[in-house]
Amino acid sequence: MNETFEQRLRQDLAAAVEEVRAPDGLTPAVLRGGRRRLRRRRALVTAPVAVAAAGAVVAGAAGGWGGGRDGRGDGLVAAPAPSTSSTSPAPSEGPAREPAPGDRAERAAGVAAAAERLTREQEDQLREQSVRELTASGSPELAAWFGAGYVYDDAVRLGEVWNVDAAEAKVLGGEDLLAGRTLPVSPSPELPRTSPGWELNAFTACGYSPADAEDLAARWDLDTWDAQVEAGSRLLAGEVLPVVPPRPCS
Amino acid sequence: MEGSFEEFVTAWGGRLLRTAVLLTGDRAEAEDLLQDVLERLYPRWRTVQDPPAYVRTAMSRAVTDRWRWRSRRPRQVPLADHHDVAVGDGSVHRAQREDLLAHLRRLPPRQRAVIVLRYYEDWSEERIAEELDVSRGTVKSQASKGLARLRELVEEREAGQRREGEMSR
Repeated sequence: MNETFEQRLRQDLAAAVEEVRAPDGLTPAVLRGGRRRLRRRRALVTAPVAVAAAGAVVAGAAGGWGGGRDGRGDGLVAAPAPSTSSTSPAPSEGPAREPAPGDRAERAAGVAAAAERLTREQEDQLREQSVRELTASGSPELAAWFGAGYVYDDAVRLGEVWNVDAAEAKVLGGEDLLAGRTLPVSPSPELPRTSPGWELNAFTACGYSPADAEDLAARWDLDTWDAQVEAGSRLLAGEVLPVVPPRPCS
Repeated sequence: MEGSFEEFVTAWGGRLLRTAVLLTGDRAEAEDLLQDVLERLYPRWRTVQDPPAYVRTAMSRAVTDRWRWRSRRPRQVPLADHHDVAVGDGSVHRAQREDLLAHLRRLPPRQRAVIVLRYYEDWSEERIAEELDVSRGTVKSQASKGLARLRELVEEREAGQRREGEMSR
């Protein structure tokens, strides 16, 4: 008797909802809501960045990412911020070859900001190189990501699968690669495996011309390509180049 | 998870909504519940290994955690029983389905969740216990009480229908 009722219940439960269909608007509504939650979560996690910019110390800023599961949440840890504390060393006077760390961070941020005013295609490349990624640059995760042959477009695709932005996708993807896991996207075979585009963008963003590149190449005993990459790299590190830029980088 | 979140919602939305309807006994409430759980899944997408199971468990926990669920849904107003009985469309089957939803809604949330997971999702008692974070004994007793109550309600309903049939002759 009990067996019979259970069997009937199974059938009745299935029949009771067999005509139920998801409403057309479910997917877009959930995507909107999910993104809203993600933004809120990130805002909460990255809130200390504002504090850091005002001169406070962000605890645990050494790792790059923090605040979530596995110590790798959605948020980002602040980059070293310019300190306004009265206990900070006074900035050196006069033109400095080696800018203070705060100056470097500002300068690099300025270069990044200037670079963002480049073409749309370059903007796409720059998005992957946001300030947060600069903070995380040199991490083993990113090294694993690039070492496996992935490029920006792959990070975009991975980000779409994981609901994260491209910068985060690279770090999380690199983390999975280091753990021996296979990523749901493969490296794009048609794209170049190495891209010094970021350094080149930084160089161009300051208005340097091919003639400037040749000038630098002569000074550093490099070819012009390598000189541009080297110059961009130094600009991003906040350094001052021996050739004055045609327009301020920041 | 291999596919994208969007693909998952598109592919599984209807199936999960059916579970939600059984868990809540109400279509509108089910849609709200499913949307809420899916939105919470979105930021965790990369780390969730079995999204359908995640959603089912989250929905079941939400309806069994009545205080939290109710407190997050201030506009929720329980429907009167007569709203749930299909009338006027001439469909006996439809009325029976609506009856079952009404019966389910009269069960305590935990009993209802156990019944739905056991007899609709076909989960084992062990799995239900694990996912709802209760003992297996609790699952057994809740399923037993839920079944007994449902049978009582079904028999009451059928007896009423028989009486109505006899009176109309």
